[in-house]
Amino acid sequence: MNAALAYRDDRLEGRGITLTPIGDSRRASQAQGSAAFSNRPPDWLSEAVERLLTLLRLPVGWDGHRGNPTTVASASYALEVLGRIMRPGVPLPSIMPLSNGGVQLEWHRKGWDVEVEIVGGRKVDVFTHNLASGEEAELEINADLSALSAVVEQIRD
Amino acid sequence: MLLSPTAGERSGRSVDAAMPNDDLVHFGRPPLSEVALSIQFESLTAFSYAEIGALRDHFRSSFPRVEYHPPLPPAFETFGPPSVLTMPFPFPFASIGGMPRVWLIDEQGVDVLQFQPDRFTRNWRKTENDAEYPHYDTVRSTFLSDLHSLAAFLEERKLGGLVPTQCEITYVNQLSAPDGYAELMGRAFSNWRNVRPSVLGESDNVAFNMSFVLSGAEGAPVGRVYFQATSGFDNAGQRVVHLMVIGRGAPATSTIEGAVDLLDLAHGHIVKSFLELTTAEIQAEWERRA
Repeated sequence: MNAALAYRDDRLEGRGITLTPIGDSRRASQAQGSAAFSNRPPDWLSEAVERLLTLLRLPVGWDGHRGNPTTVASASYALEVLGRIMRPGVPLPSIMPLSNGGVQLEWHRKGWDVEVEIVGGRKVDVFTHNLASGEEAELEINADLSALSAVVEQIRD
Repeated sequence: MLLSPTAGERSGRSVDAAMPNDDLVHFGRPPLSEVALSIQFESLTAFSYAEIGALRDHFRSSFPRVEYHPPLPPAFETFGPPSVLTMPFPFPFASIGGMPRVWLIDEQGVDVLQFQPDRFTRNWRKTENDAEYPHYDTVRSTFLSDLHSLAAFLEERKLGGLVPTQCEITYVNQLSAPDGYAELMGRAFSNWRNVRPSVLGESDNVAFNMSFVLSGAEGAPVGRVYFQATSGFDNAGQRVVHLMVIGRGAPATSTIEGAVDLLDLAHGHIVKSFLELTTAEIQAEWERRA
Protein backbone atom coordinates (compact mmCIF):
# COMPACT_ATOMS: atom_id res chain seq x y z
CA MET A 1 0.00 0.00 0.00
CA ASN A 2 1.03 3.53 -0.45
CA ALA A 3 1.69 5.45 2.71
CA ALA A 4 3.71 8.18 1.08
CA LEU A 5 1.08 10.85 1.37
CA ALA A 6 2.25 11.65 4.83
CA TYR A 7 4.08 14.93 4.90
CA ARG A 8 7.80 14.96 5.51
CA ASP A 9 9.71 18.01 6.54
CA ASP A 10 13.11 17.83 8.18
CA ARG A 11 12.88 21.48 9.14
CA LEU A 12 10.54 20.52 11.94
CA GLU A 13 13.34 18.73 13.70
CA GLY A 14 14.09 20.20 17.05
CA ARG A 15 10.47 20.93 17.85
CA GLY A 16 10.01 17.48 19.32
CA ILE A 17 7.59 16.43 16.60
CA THR A 18 8.18 13.61 14.20
CA LEU A 19 5.96 13.72 11.14
CA THR A 20 7.45 10.86 9.23
CA PRO A 21 6.23 7.41 10.28
CA ILE A 22 9.42 5.80 9.20
CA GLY A 23 9.81 3.34 12.03
CA ASP A 24 13.33 2.03 11.92
CA SER A 25 13.57 1.87 8.17
CA ARG A 26 17.17 0.73 8.14
CA ARG A 27 16.46 -2.48 9.99
CA ALA A 28 13.19 -3.01 8.13
CA SER A 29 14.96 -2.80 4.79
CA GLN A 30 17.57 -5.28 5.95
CA ALA A 31 14.82 -7.79 6.68
CA GLN A 32 13.04 -7.12 3.41
CA GLY A 33 16.29 -7.41 1.51
CA SER A 34 16.56 -11.10 2.27
CA ALA A 35 17.53 -13.19 -0.75
CA ALA A 36 15.05 -15.93 0.19
CA PHE A 37 13.38 -17.41 -2.88
CA SER A 38 9.96 -17.21 -1.29
CA ASN A 39 10.13 -13.50 -2.10
CA ARG A 40 10.59 -14.15 -5.81
CA PRO A 41 8.07 -12.33 -8.04
CA PRO A 42 6.03 -14.29 -10.59
CA ASP A 43 7.81 -15.22 -13.83
CA TRP A 44 5.57 -13.08 -16.03
CA LEU A 45 6.11 -9.86 -14.10
CA SER A 46 9.31 -8.61 -15.74
CA GLU A 47 7.95 -9.11 -19.24
CA ALA A 48 4.70 -7.34 -18.36
CA VAL A 49 6.53 -4.39 -16.85
CA GLU A 50 8.86 -4.09 -19.83
CA ARG A 51 5.93 -4.12 -22.22
CA LEU A 52 4.02 -1.50 -20.24
CA LEU A 53 7.09 0.70 -20.03
CA THR A 54 7.29 0.58 -23.83
CA LEU A 55 3.67 1.68 -24.12
CA LEU A 56 4.21 4.52 -21.66
CA ARG A 57 6.95 5.88 -23.90
CA LEU A 58 4.93 5.91 -27.10
CA PRO A 59 4.84 9.31 -28.82
CA VAL A 60 1.61 11.19 -29.31
CA GLY A 61 0.24 10.08 -32.67
CA TRP A 62 1.81 6.61 -32.42
CA ASP A 63 -1.14 5.16 -34.33
CA GLY A 64 -0.78 7.50 -37.29
CA HIS A 65 -3.60 9.67 -35.97
CA ARG A 66 -3.80 11.42 -32.62
CA GLY A 67 -3.26 8.41 -30.41
CA ASN A 68 -2.09 9.14 -26.86
CA PRO A 69 0.63 7.18 -25.08
CA THR A 70 -0.56 4.83 -22.39
CA THR A 71 -1.19 6.67 -19.13
CA VAL A 72 0.52 5.80 -15.86
CA ALA A 73 -2.88 5.07 -14.35
CA SER A 74 -3.78 2.60 -17.11
CA ALA A 75 -0.42 0.85 -16.91
CA SER A 76 -0.55 0.60 -13.13
CA TYR A 77 -4.12 -0.65 -13.12
CA ALA A 78 -3.27 -3.21 -15.81
CA LEU A 79 -0.56 -4.58 -13.55
CA GLU A 80 -2.99 -4.63 -10.63
CA VAL A 81 -5.48 -6.58 -12.78
CA LEU A 82 -2.81 -9.05 -13.91
CA GLY A 83 -1.78 -9.62 -10.32
CA ARG A 84 -5.33 -10.70 -9.50
CA ILE A 85 -6.02 -12.91 -12.52
CA MET A 86 -2.71 -14.46 -13.55
CA ARG A 87 -2.32 -18.05 -12.37
CA PRO A 88 -0.09 -20.98 -13.32
CA GLY A 89 -1.20 -22.24 -16.72
CA VAL A 90 -2.31 -18.82 -17.92
CA PRO A 91 0.23 -17.25 -20.29
CA LEU A 92 0.87 -13.54 -20.25
CA PRO A 93 -1.61 -11.90 -22.64
CA SER A 94 -0.66 -9.64 -25.52
CA ILE A 95 -0.51 -6.14 -24.06
CA MET A 96 -1.57 -3.55 -26.62
CA PRO A 97 -1.96 0.24 -26.47
CA LEU A 98 -5.28 1.99 -27.04
CA SER A 99 -5.44 5.37 -28.68
CA ASN A 100 -7.23 6.85 -25.66
CA GLY A 101 -4.30 6.09 -23.36
CA GLY A 102 -5.66 2.76 -22.21
CA VAL A 103 -4.31 -0.77 -22.39
CA GLN A 104 -5.81 -3.87 -24.00
CA LEU A 105 -5.00 -7.37 -22.80
CA GLU A 106 -5.68 -10.15 -25.30
CA TRP A 107 -5.72 -13.93 -25.21
CA HIS A 108 -6.59 -16.09 -28.21
CA ARG A 109 -6.41 -19.68 -27.06
CA LYS A 110 -8.38 -22.78 -26.19
CA GLY A 111 -11.15 -21.77 -28.55
CA TRP A 112 -11.67 -18.39 -26.93
CA ASP A 113 -10.96 -14.78 -27.77
CA VAL A 114 -10.71 -12.74 -24.58
CA GLU A 115 -10.10 -9.00 -24.74
CA VAL A 116 -9.79 -6.81 -21.67
CA GLU A 117 -9.87 -3.05 -22.12
CA ILE A 118 -8.44 -0.96 -19.28
CA VAL A 119 -8.79 2.79 -19.44
CA GLY A 120 -7.42 4.86 -16.60
CA GLY A 121 -7.69 3.64 -13.08
CA ARG A 122 -11.25 2.50 -12.89
CA LYS A 123 -12.96 1.02 -15.91
CA VAL A 124 -12.39 -2.54 -17.14
CA ASP A 125 -14.41 -3.81 -20.11
CA VAL A 126 -14.22 -7.47 -21.04
CA PHE A 127 -15.21 -9.02 -24.36
CA THR A 128 -15.31 -12.80 -24.86
CA HIS A 129 -15.97 -14.85 -28.00
CA ASN A 130 -16.31 -18.62 -28.03
CA LEU A 131 -15.12 -19.68 -31.47
CA ALA A 132 -16.97 -23.00 -31.43
CA SER A 133 -20.40 -21.76 -30.42
CA GLY A 134 -20.07 -18.24 -31.72
CA GLU A 135 -21.29 -16.99 -28.36
CA GLU A 136 -20.19 -13.48 -27.47
CA ALA A 137 -20.40 -11.69 -24.15
CA GLU A 138 -19.45 -8.31 -22.72
CA LEU A 139 -18.76 -7.48 -19.09
CA GLU A 140 -18.13 -4.17 -17.38
CA ILE A 141 -16.07 -4.65 -14.23
CA ASN A 142 -15.08 -2.27 -11.49
CA ALA A 143 -13.05 -3.04 -8.38
CA ASP A 144 -14.17 -6.66 -7.93
CA LEU A 145 -12.25 -8.74 -10.47
CA SER A 146 -13.85 -12.09 -9.61
CA ALA A 147 -15.87 -12.23 -12.85
CA LEU A 148 -12.79 -11.57 -14.96
CA SER A 149 -10.88 -14.23 -13.08
CA ALA A 150 -13.64 -16.72 -13.92
CA VAL A 151 -13.32 -15.83 -17.60
CA VAL A 152 -9.56 -16.38 -17.52
CA GLU A 153 -10.06 -19.79 -15.88
CA GLN A 154 -11.58 -20.94 -19.16
CA ILE A 155 -8.33 -20.41 -21.05
CA ARG A 156 -6.08 -21.89 -18.41
CA ASP A 157 -4.03 -25.02 -19.26
CA MET B 1 -6.63 11.11 16.06
CA LEU B 2 -9.91 12.21 14.52
CA LEU B 3 -9.83 14.76 17.18
CA SER B 4 -10.73 18.35 17.12
CA PRO B 5 -12.51 21.04 19.02
CA THR B 6 -16.23 21.15 18.50
CA ALA B 7 -17.36 24.01 16.34
CA GLY B 8 -18.08 26.25 19.28
CA GLU B 9 -15.02 25.50 21.34
CA ARG B 10 -12.07 25.66 18.98
CA SER B 11 -10.16 27.80 21.38
CA GLY B 12 -10.73 25.40 24.27
CA ARG B 13 -8.86 22.27 25.24
CA SER B 14 -11.49 19.69 24.37
CA VAL B 15 -11.21 17.87 21.06
CA ASP B 16 -13.60 15.48 19.43
CA ALA B 17 -14.16 13.12 16.57
CA ALA B 18 -17.54 13.17 14.94
CA MET B 19 -19.42 12.73 11.74
CA PRO B 20 -23.13 12.84 11.20
CA ASN B 21 -24.61 9.64 12.66
CA ASP B 22 -21.44 8.89 14.60
CA ASP B 23 -21.15 9.02 18.33
CA LEU B 24 -19.05 11.91 19.54
CA VAL B 25 -15.68 10.96 20.95
CA HIS B 26 -13.69 13.56 22.84
CA PHE B 27 -9.98 13.45 23.61
CA GLY B 28 -8.17 16.07 25.62
CA ARG B 29 -4.67 14.90 24.60
CA PRO B 30 -4.95 13.21 21.22
CA PRO B 31 -1.87 11.56 19.62
CA LEU B 32 -2.65 12.89 16.13
CA SER B 33 0.20 14.60 14.30
CA GLU B 34 -1.10 14.76 10.73
CA VAL B 35 -4.15 14.24 8.55
CA ALA B 36 -4.41 14.21 4.75
CA LEU B 37 -7.35 14.02 2.37
CA SER B 38 -6.49 12.97 -1.15
CA ILE B 39 -8.12 12.30 -4.47
CA GLN B 40 -6.62 10.37 -7.37
CA PHE B 41 -8.04 11.06 -10.82
CA GLU B 42 -7.54 10.29 -14.48
CA SER B 43 -4.28 11.80 -15.67
CA LEU B 44 -4.47 15.36 -16.92
CA THR B 45 -2.49 14.71 -20.08
CA ALA B 46 -2.61 18.37 -21.13
CA PHE B 47 -0.97 19.53 -17.90
CA SER B 48 2.65 20.41 -18.71
CA TYR B 49 5.62 21.96 -16.94
CA ALA B 50 4.53 25.33 -18.27
CA GLU B 51 1.37 25.16 -16.17
CA ILE B 52 3.15 24.78 -12.86
CA GLY B 53 3.85 28.50 -12.59
CA ALA B 54 0.22 29.33 -13.27
CA LEU B 55 -0.86 26.78 -10.65
CA ARG B 56 1.48 28.40 -8.14
CA ASP B 57 0.01 31.81 -8.90
CA HIS B 58 -3.51 30.45 -8.51
CA PHE B 59 -2.88 29.30 -4.93
CA ARG B 60 -0.09 31.74 -4.01
CA SER B 61 -2.11 33.99 -1.70
CA SER B 62 -2.74 31.14 0.75
CA PHE B 63 0.21 28.90 -0.10
CA PRO B 64 3.23 31.08 -0.89
CA ARG B 65 5.94 28.45 -0.44
CA VAL B 66 6.73 25.74 -2.95
CA GLU B 67 8.73 22.52 -3.05
CA TYR B 68 9.12 19.83 -5.70
CA HIS B 69 9.17 16.10 -5.03
CA PRO B 70 9.00 12.87 -7.04
CA PRO B 71 5.46 11.88 -8.01
CA LEU B 72 3.59 9.17 -6.16
CA PRO B 73 2.59 6.04 -8.07
CA PRO B 74 -1.13 5.38 -8.52
CA ALA B 75 -2.74 3.13 -5.91
CA PHE B 76 -5.87 1.07 -6.45
CA GLU B 77 -8.01 -1.08 -4.22
CA THR B 78 -9.23 -4.17 -6.05
CA PHE B 79 -10.98 -7.33 -4.90
CA GLY B 80 -11.53 -10.89 -5.96
CA PRO B 81 -8.91 -13.63 -6.15
CA PRO B 82 -5.79 -13.01 -4.07
CA SER B 83 -3.16 -11.02 -5.92
CA VAL B 84 0.16 -12.68 -6.59
CA LEU B 85 1.83 -9.29 -6.35
CA THR B 86 1.91 -9.21 -2.58
CA MET B 87 5.60 -8.64 -2.12
CA PRO B 88 6.92 -5.08 -1.90
CA PHE B 89 6.99 -4.16 -5.57
CA PRO B 90 8.64 -0.98 -6.82
CA PHE B 91 6.21 0.23 -9.47
CA PRO B 92 8.43 1.81 -12.12
CA PHE B 93 5.75 3.92 -13.72
CA ALA B 94 5.30 6.99 -11.54
CA SER B 95 8.20 8.99 -12.91
CA ILE B 96 7.27 8.49 -16.55
CA GLY B 97 6.73 11.88 -18.11
CA GLY B 98 8.91 13.51 -15.52
CA MET B 99 6.24 15.69 -13.97
CA PRO B 100 7.02 16.43 -10.33
CA ARG B 101 4.70 16.45 -7.35
CA VAL B 102 4.32 20.10 -6.35
CA TRP B 103 3.95 21.02 -2.71
CA LEU B 104 2.30 24.37 -2.05
CA ILE B 105 2.80 25.30 1.59
CA ASP B 106 1.20 27.97 3.73
CA GLU B 107 3.27 30.55 5.61
CA GLN B 108 3.16 28.65 8.90
CA GLY B 109 3.89 25.28 7.32
CA VAL B 110 0.69 23.81 8.76
CA ASP B 111 -1.38 23.29 5.61
CA VAL B 112 0.06 21.80 2.44
CA LEU B 113 -1.41 21.17 -1.00
CA GLN B 114 0.19 18.40 -3.04
CA PHE B 115 -0.48 18.27 -6.76
CA GLN B 116 0.62 16.01 -9.59
CA PRO B 117 -1.30 15.45 -12.82
CA ASP B 118 -3.25 12.51 -11.38
CA ARG B 119 -3.50 13.36 -7.70
CA PHE B 120 -4.44 16.18 -5.33
CA THR B 121 -3.87 16.08 -1.59
CA ARG B 122 -4.41 18.50 1.26
CA ASN B 123 -2.43 17.92 4.46
CA TRP B 124 -2.82 19.40 7.90
CA ARG B 125 0.08 18.78 10.22
CA LYS B 126 0.84 19.51 13.81
CA THR B 127 3.81 21.80 13.92
CA GLU B 128 3.60 22.84 17.55
CA ASN B 129 3.05 20.53 20.49
CA ASP B 130 -0.03 22.37 21.67
CA ALA B 131 -1.61 22.78 18.22
CA GLU B 132 -5.11 21.40 17.98
CA TYR B 133 -6.43 19.42 15.06
CA PRO B 134 -9.33 21.13 13.34
CA HIS B 135 -12.59 19.20 13.24
CA TYR B 136 -13.04 16.71 10.37
CA ASP B 137 -15.79 18.93 9.04
CA THR B 138 -13.26 21.75 8.76
CA VAL B 139 -10.59 19.60 7.12
CA ARG B 140 -13.19 18.28 4.71
CA SER B 141 -14.49 21.77 3.95
CA THR B 142 -11.06 23.26 3.22
CA PHE B 143 -10.13 20.23 1.11
CA LEU B 144 -13.31 20.60 -0.93
CA SER B 145 -12.82 24.33 -1.32
CA ASP B 146 -9.30 23.89 -2.67
CA LEU B 147 -10.36 20.99 -4.86
CA HIS B 148 -13.11 23.07 -6.45
CA SER B 149 -10.59 25.88 -6.88
CA LEU B 150 -8.26 23.46 -8.68
CA ALA B 151 -11.12 22.30 -10.90
CA ALA B 152 -11.89 25.92 -11.82
CA PHE B 153 -8.22 26.54 -12.63
CA LEU B 154 -8.10 23.48 -14.88
CA GLU B 155 -11.28 24.47 -16.65
CA GLU B 156 -10.16 28.05 -17.17
CA ARG B 157 -6.91 26.88 -18.76
CA LYS B 158 -8.61 24.08 -20.71
CA LEU B 159 -6.53 21.38 -19.04
CA GLY B 160 -9.33 18.88 -18.56
CA GLY B 161 -11.77 17.89 -15.85
CA LEU B 162 -11.28 15.95 -12.64
CA VAL B 163 -12.48 12.34 -13.01
CA PRO B 164 -11.87 10.69 -9.62
CA THR B 165 -10.74 7.07 -9.55
CA GLN B 166 -9.69 6.63 -5.91
CA CYS B 167 -9.73 8.74 -2.79
CA GLU B 168 -7.92 8.47 0.48
CA ILE B 169 -7.94 9.74 4.06
CA THR B 170 -4.78 9.37 6.14
CA TYR B 171 -4.17 9.89 9.84
CA VAL B 172 -0.76 9.79 11.45
CA ASN B 173 -0.48 9.35 15.21
CA GLN B 174 2.59 9.39 17.38
CA LEU B 175 2.54 7.34 20.58
CA SER B 176 5.26 7.79 23.13
CA ALA B 177 6.98 4.59 24.36
CA PRO B 178 9.09 5.59 27.38
CA ASP B 179 8.99 2.07 28.87
CA GLY B 180 9.77 0.27 25.62
CA TYR B 181 7.93 -0.62 22.46
CA ALA B 182 6.47 -3.89 23.69
CA GLU B 183 5.09 -2.27 26.81
CA LEU B 184 3.38 0.42 24.77
CA MET B 185 2.00 -2.00 22.18
CA GLY B 186 0.43 -4.16 24.87
CA ARG B 187 -0.97 -1.15 26.64
CA ALA B 188 -2.26 0.66 23.53
CA PHE B 189 -3.59 -1.96 21.13
CA SER B 190 -6.36 -4.38 21.89
CA ASN B 191 -5.08 -6.85 19.27
CA TRP B 192 -1.58 -7.07 20.75
CA ARG B 193 -0.70 -9.67 23.37
CA ASN B 194 2.64 -9.19 25.00
CA VAL B 195 4.78 -12.19 25.69
CA ARG B 196 8.12 -12.00 27.45
CA PRO B 197 10.39 -14.68 26.02
CA SER B 198 13.27 -15.32 28.37
CA VAL B 199 15.77 -16.05 25.61
CA LEU B 200 14.91 -13.24 23.20
CA GLY B 201 14.38 -10.52 25.75
CA GLU B 202 12.59 -7.38 24.76
CA SER B 203 12.08 -6.61 21.09
CA ASP B 204 13.93 -3.56 19.81
CA ASN B 205 11.65 -3.17 16.80
CA VAL B 206 7.90 -3.80 16.57
CA ALA B 207 5.33 -3.37 13.83
CA PHE B 208 1.98 -4.52 12.58
CA ASN B 209 0.22 -3.98 9.29
CA MET B 210 -3.43 -4.87 8.91
CA SER B 211 -6.10 -4.08 6.37
CA PHE B 212 -9.86 -4.45 6.45
CA VAL B 213 -12.40 -4.31 3.66
CA LEU B 214 -14.56 -1.22 3.52
CA SER B 215 -18.05 -1.99 2.23
CA GLY B 216 -20.43 0.37 0.51
CA ALA B 217 -24.11 0.92 1.15
CA GLU B 218 -25.12 -2.30 -0.62
CA GLY B 219 -22.47 -4.40 1.03
CA ALA B 220 -20.15 -4.56 -1.96
CA PRO B 221 -16.45 -3.93 -1.28
CA VAL B 222 -15.43 -0.39 -2.19
CA GLY B 223 -12.11 0.06 -0.43
CA ARG B 224 -9.90 -0.82 2.50
CA VAL B 225 -8.86 0.60 5.84
CA TYR B 226 -5.22 0.07 6.79
CA PHE B 227 -3.66 0.19 10.24
CA GLN B 228 0.13 0.31 10.26
CA ALA B 229 2.16 0.60 13.44
CA THR B 230 5.93 0.97 13.32
CA SER B 231 8.46 1.68 16.03
CA GLY B 232 11.02 4.43 15.78
CA PHE B 233 12.31 7.54 17.48
CA ASP B 234 11.14 11.11 17.63
CA ASN B 235 13.46 13.98 16.90
CA ALA B 236 14.47 14.16 20.54
CA GLY B 237 15.66 10.56 20.32
CA GLN B 238 12.80 9.19 22.40
CA ARG B 239 11.12 5.92 21.51
CA VAL B 240 7.76 6.28 19.76
CA VAL B 241 5.36 4.13 17.79
CA HIS B 242 3.80 5.67 14.72
CA LEU B 243 0.30 4.56 13.94
CA MET B 244 -0.84 5.37 10.43
CA VAL B 245 -4.49 4.82 9.58
CA ILE B 246 -5.51 4.99 5.94
CA GLY B 247 -8.90 4.61 4.31
CA ARG B 248 -8.84 4.29 0.53
CA GLY B 249 -11.31 3.26 -2.13
CA ALA B 250 -13.11 3.95 -5.36
CA PRO B 251 -15.98 6.43 -5.36
CA ALA B 252 -19.36 5.12 -6.50
CA THR B 253 -19.46 7.83 -9.15
CA SER B 254 -16.51 9.48 -10.86
CA THR B 255 -17.40 12.88 -9.49
CA ILE B 256 -16.13 15.10 -6.71
CA GLU B 257 -19.36 14.42 -4.83
CA GLY B 258 -18.80 10.68 -5.17
CA ALA B 259 -15.25 11.06 -3.90
CA VAL B 260 -16.38 13.03 -0.85
CA ASP B 261 -19.03 10.41 -0.08
CA LEU B 262 -16.29 7.77 -0.04
CA LEU B 263 -14.11 9.92 2.23
CA ASP B 264 -17.03 10.32 4.64
CA LEU B 265 -17.65 6.58 4.60
CA ALA B 266 -13.97 5.87 5.29
CA HIS B 267 -13.84 8.48 8.03
CA GLY B 268 -16.87 7.03 9.83
CA HIS B 269 -15.38 3.55 9.62
CA ILE B 270 -12.02 4.73 10.92
CA VAL B 271 -13.57 6.53 13.89
CA LYS B 272 -15.27 3.34 15.04
CA SER B 273 -12.44 0.96 14.26
CA PHE B 274 -9.86 3.21 15.95
CA LEU B 275 -11.83 2.96 19.17
CA GLU B 276 -12.02 -0.82 18.78
CA LEU B 277 -8.34 -1.23 18.07
CA THR B 278 -7.06 0.92 20.93
CA THR B 279 -7.51 0.02 24.59
CA ALA B 280 -9.57 1.84 27.17
CA GLU B 281 -6.33 2.37 29.08
CA ILE B 282 -4.60 4.35 26.34
CA GLN B 283 -7.83 6.18 25.53
CA ALA B 284 -7.91 7.27 29.17
CA GLU B 285 -4.35 8.59 28.78
CA TRP B 286 -5.57 10.59 25.81
CA GLU B 287 -8.32 11.89 28.08
CA ARG B 288 -11.25 10.37 26.26
CA ARG B 289 -14.60 11.81 27.22
CA ALA B 290 -17.64 9.94 25.93
